[in-house]
Amino acid sequence: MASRRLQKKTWKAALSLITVVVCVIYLFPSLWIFTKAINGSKGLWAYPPQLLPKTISFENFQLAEKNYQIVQKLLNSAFVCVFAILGATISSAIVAYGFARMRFRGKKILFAVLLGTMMIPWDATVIPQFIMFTSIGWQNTYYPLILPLCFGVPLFIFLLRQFIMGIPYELDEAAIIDGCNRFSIFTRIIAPLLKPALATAVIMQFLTSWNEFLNPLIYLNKASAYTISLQLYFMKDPFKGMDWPSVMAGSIVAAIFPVLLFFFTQKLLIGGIAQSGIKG
Amino acid sequence: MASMYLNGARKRRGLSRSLREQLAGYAFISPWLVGLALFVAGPMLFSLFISFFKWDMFKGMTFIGLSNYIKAFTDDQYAMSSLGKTLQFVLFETPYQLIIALLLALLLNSKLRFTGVARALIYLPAVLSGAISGSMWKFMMDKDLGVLNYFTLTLFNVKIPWLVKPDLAMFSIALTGAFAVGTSMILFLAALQSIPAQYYEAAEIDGAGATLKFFKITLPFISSTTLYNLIIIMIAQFQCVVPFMVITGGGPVKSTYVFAYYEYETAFRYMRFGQAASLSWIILTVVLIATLAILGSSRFWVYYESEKE
Repeated sequence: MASRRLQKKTWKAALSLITVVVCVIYLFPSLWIFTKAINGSKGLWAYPPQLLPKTISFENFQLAEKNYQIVQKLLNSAFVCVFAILGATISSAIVAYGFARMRFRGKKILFAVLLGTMMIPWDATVIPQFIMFTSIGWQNTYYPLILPLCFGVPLFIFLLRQFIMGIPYELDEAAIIDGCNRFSIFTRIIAPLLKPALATAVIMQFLTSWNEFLNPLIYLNKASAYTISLQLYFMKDPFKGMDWPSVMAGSIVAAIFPVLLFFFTQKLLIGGIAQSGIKG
Repeated sequence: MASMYLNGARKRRGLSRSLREQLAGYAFISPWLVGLALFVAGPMLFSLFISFFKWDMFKGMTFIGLSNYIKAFTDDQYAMSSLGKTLQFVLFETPYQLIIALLLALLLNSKLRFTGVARALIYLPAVLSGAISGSMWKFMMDKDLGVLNYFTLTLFNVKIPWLVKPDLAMFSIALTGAFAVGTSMILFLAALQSIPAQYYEAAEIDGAGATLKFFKITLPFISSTTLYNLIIIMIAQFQCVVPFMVITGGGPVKSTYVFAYYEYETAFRYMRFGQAASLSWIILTVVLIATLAILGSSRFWVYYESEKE
């Protein structure tokens, strides 16, 4: 008995050690950029690398702002995010209510189609969408990054539908008896209860839109319109290569919002992801 | 439960009401239906249509039948070689990410005191954009001054030409994928946590060891999640292009020029839309076949809910 307890203790200690090592490995790259960003432009390529910054300077941030106007780029990203989030969550909630509560012919098939569209690769639609949006002159606008989201996002529709199905139907019934129509049931009764699930959708959409790279790359070719993610890619000189001091500072500035949001809301985000896998 | 109520409701109401209810149902899902037509189905059909044309941005469209497809398979400098690279990448990266996600989930499922913090820290790289993590790896993998080679030089006295050596660059990028497994890890973790403890207790009474428990209880129980993760990861790897753009730009000497990158440049750099559309249909077909093959194989190794209950 005693030896088994000892065995268990060693096993636990080993697991703890492995967990700590894994955490260090996963945290290291982010910490590394952070130390480089606040290290000034000279400390960047010091060799041997300085694992802890010897000097702290905001020089890199000033360079990034001076050369690439990163504050403007942050505002551009924020603009896209606000409208992407509004469009995606409102439309998804409406569609989710339809799938959760209404009876209509073909619902099962349509819902299967909805789940199927989550698996459609980016390649399938990006070229025709590009032709479509550029032919109406939407290069260097944010419409191509926002508009497709305003028709419901399959993942959110799925999550919100699951959530609505967990709300007792008696609430809807009582409202019907009181003479409410379906839309006012949705806006007055269901929508307020959806807050936790909507919060998850808001976080997910923020992360997606904030980090989005390919669509901005395709549609935005005017530097002043770049989002922050795209600007990071274009912090380079055709002859000298990457402008590393600006990249480091820019990366930290770009990462700080998703990282903070993630740390404060990780239960919602992780709960939402865990939900999204329950499809059977 | 909801459907039970609805059944009752339907019986009580007249036909016109049920019809009205149906129309209201379509009204609620109409935004998605319109979006499906405008941004998914319509564009896909259009893309199939233009794949039979020679169409450069500034010249007109000429119908050329299957020529785009035939050219891709027989007479194209990059199509087949980049498809080969993509397949190589997918074959390595899919099991690699799947296994790492599972191992991390198993680690986080052990009842240690700080797993909550650990979960957040391990998930952290997944909230960074591809542009950030890409340049981060490029910076750290620098052959002479990068921090990774500082470690390998100090520990093993070797310098690894991560991104400079053509044979190695693909592998180096593939390795960084370990930091992008957050979502799959969370799904595995949720599945692991849903396994009832009685199963393990019963197995322990019968004297089963850790290995036996893992293969006979854990793996079968999470197999539907494994299937889902496998498909999601695989599809993502087929499309994976951002790391290649940011870290190597397809180089050195086109050694990391994957199919999605070639397709991207054909469409958006050279504006050859017809040819690019045909490339996208080629890769879609490959993805579809691979997905169906995995789904087909799943009945041999996935245990569904009904069997478990």
